[in-house]
Amino acid sequence: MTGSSAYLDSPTLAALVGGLVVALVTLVAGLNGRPPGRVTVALTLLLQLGVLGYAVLYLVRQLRGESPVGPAWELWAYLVTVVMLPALALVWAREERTRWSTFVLSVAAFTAAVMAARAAQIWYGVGMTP
Amino acid sequence: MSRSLAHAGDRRHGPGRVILALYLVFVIGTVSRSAAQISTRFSEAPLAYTLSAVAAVVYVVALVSLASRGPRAWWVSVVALSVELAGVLAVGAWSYLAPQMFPDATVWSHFGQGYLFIPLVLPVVGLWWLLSPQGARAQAHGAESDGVESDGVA
Repeated sequence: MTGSSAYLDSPTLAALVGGLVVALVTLVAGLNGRPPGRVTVALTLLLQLGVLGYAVLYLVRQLRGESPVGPAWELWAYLVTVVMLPALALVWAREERTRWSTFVLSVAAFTAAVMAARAAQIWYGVGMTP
Repeated sequence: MSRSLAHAGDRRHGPGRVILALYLVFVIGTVSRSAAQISTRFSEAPLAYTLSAVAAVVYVVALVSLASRGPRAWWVSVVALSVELAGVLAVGAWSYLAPQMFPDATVWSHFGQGYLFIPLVLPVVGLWWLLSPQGARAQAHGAESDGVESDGVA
């Protein structure tokens, strides 16, 4: 991987840091044995809205005629997955109200954060295989 | 004795849920990645990309079997996770010993370093879960076993 962090524009930084914070809070809640509660569910919902906005941002960029340095289909594969992750975790959290669903929220938030950053790398062509 | 029998035979609940979530993430990641590698640039690194595809298949089998009930699914899970563990150990060591054979990374290169070593930890945790009392109970449930592998042993 390249050491360049040029891909970390402010929306990406927000998605990355926000997702990691949600992942950390839900991880701690899970370690405390808490089932998904008001705070953890609200944070995940917030993350869901955030990544939705993040995906819309790329849609707007593309509609404006800009295009990613990396392959566009790969970018969208990442973005679609990122948008689905918190939603899927919330469905699971509704189905089973145990501490384990809180860990699932954490896994989803962490994965969404990392994949959102990876989408930005594809956009700016950072760390691409030549 | 005091262990609850809830969710016997069902590995989709409790801790299994977290493992399942991680496998789902890896299935999405490895299947799409290997589809991309093989369809666009297979000739560049045939070995690495073939191994990527093998890893993807293993993750799919693991996910489906972990999500299924019954002793047969339990056995499939144990085999899939063992293959996964062997794969990450073998490819991990191989990628250090012969880096020139891996111009592009696979999930299992360098023991899954690019994925926070989760590919190395996941099968270990999964096998522990399958072989732990919960998992063993899941195996007994629905099988004809009559308490041979009773809870007291573990």
